[in-house]
Amino acid sequence: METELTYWDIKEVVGRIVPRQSVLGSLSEAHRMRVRKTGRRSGPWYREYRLNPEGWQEFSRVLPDTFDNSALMVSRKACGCPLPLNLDVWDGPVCSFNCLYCFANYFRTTLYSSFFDQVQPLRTIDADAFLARLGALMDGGAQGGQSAERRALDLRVPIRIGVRFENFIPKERKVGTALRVLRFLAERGYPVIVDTKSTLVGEDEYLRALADNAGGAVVQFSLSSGDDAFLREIEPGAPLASERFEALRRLNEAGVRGVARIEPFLPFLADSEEWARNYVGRCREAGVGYVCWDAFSYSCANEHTRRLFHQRGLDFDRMFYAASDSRLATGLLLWAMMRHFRSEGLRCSTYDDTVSQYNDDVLCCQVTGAFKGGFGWNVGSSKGAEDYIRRQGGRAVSWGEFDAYVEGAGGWLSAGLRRDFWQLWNLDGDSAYSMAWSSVEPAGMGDGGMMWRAAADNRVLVDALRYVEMEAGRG
Amino acid sequence: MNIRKALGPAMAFGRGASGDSVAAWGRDVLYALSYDRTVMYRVDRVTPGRKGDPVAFRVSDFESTDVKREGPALVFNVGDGALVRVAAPAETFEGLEALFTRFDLRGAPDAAAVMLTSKDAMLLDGDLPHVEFVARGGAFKIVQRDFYSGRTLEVERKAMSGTGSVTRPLAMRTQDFKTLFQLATSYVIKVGDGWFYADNLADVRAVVGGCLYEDVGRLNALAEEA
Repeated sequence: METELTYWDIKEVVGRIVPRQSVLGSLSEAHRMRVRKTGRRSGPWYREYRLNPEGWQEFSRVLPDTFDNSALMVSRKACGCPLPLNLDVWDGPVCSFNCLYCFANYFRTTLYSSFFDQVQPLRTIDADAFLARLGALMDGGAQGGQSAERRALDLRVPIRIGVRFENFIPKERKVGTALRVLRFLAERGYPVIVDTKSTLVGEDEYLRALADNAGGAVVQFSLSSGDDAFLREIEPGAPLASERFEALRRLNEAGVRGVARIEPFLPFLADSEEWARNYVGRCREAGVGYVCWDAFSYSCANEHTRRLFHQRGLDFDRMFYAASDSRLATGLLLWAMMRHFRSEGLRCSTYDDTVSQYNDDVLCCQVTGAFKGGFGWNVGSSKGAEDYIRRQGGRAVSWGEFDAYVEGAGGWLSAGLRRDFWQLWNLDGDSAYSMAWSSVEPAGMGDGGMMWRAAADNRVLVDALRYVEMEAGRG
Repeated sequence: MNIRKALGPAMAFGRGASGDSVAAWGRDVLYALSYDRTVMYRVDRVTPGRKGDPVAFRVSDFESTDVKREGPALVFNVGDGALVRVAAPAETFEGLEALFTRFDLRGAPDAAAVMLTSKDAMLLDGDLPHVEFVARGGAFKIVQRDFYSGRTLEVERKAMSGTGSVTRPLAMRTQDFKTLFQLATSYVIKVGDGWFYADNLADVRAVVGGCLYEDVGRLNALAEEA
């Protein structure tokens, strides 16, 4: 897909379609106009009642103080994720970084064990017990049986720390649970990915634990912008961009691949030419060569998030329509900005299925080449399917063929995942992803349902670009 | 119009953890302002008329027409000796009236204006978030751009009153547009510099913050500009 239009040409057209909201009164007044109620209960935030013959009975799942059983889990979004082995050693009701757009709060209540029936204080795992069990799982011990986690460990799928919660919080510095886990993985030479906004991973002990891992380590820093003032608005409790880039510099110098994650990408809020110049410049100074991208998470398109943005004078609706809700606008803007960053020498990939065919790495987290001891990934995912189908050069691929390919490449992580992905392959089920979003197209019916083949370009993007070029020509 | 009916659209504006729609009631006039400050309306000849001092309240707190202010609180008498006590908002009747007056275009005959009815609103696609207003050369168009599929919906009204034209593209949220027609079936809509003024030529008037096509991602605060 080619065009002479720059990102900012395209954005100008999108800006003629998605307008900016005016408000009648002062936003500071709106900020003051909070709901104030007195005498609210101080107990659990949530109560659930169930009707039985004796009447309404309160129902609750009182969870233990630790969450060792759910700390290591294959993501319930593994259908769309090539690296879905998640580990979190800290958990709590809310992270101290207070990012306005936090999707982890939403994900944690839906993707994994529900621990919001009874809100727990900030808690960490029992490291001794957890590491003993993790070691047994890695060694092929009886614990874990044929679980998806056991399969993932057998395949050496990198453990990813930090998808559900920020693990490198200030209290970690005192307790050191995550440090113990990183050291354990380093001793085992097991590959690890860290997702964080905390600069703690750039400090000596943590840096050593990562750099000493013979299996390799990647640290992905969530950085929507290189502008300290803007990040202070949307991530009030998190380290500044300058501090995070400094941590990235230290990691890269120590041989740990430091990746910048622009997630969410925020059109109209953080996408000016000056913003791009600043970001690219900071990447160069920090030795960052890889940038991961994603659109604004649809999961946090809720009224509360919108109001948090509005109270700070940020037009949530405009950003959300352009960066998430409209697949045409979102895909095109992401594609164009990634193309701009590529022209500056940065390797770019996105999790967004509409644009992912243009990724520089099959693995959207951009970890290829970072793990020295070899590693595996979940080929039984939408990314794996798109990659396999595109490698067949336009030939139609049946479910049976793809199933055999996955089995030959190490197998499915679980029977449940195979079933879920079969539904996704046939545009069925309730997965958050769709085969139809990516750059493959239906090619009839065959063994096990639909057949798919590679399309030259994603039709949605091509149509959107054609429309934008027409509109840009009109001035 | 009964006050409960007049408060209906304001209830639809919503409330939540960080803000509320607010209303103010004095004599036979009611003002309502959405929690996100994008819509405000005024209803005249509200029944019953308020006999005491004007009062402002969060719309979701409204319990009865028998309400009085007691220091920082509002007390609603709900009958049979039961009282509901809630915190009063910072807003006042006078404050909302002053805000409304800033955007009142009733005495602006030159503004571009068009009569629109609830039937026009029914032509719009409620799934599309904005309605753009285009007034040029005596014709008036409302346009919806479907950024989900790439199509455009246009409704044209040939006869436009007023001599003005819309100097810069201006849109309204579809949700706000439809909310107006919960109070009246037709309005003369005038286009201001960044906002809309809607008047049913009887007892309902509204102002709606416009949506601008500029390269800015921050909200445009009209009152601070005025």
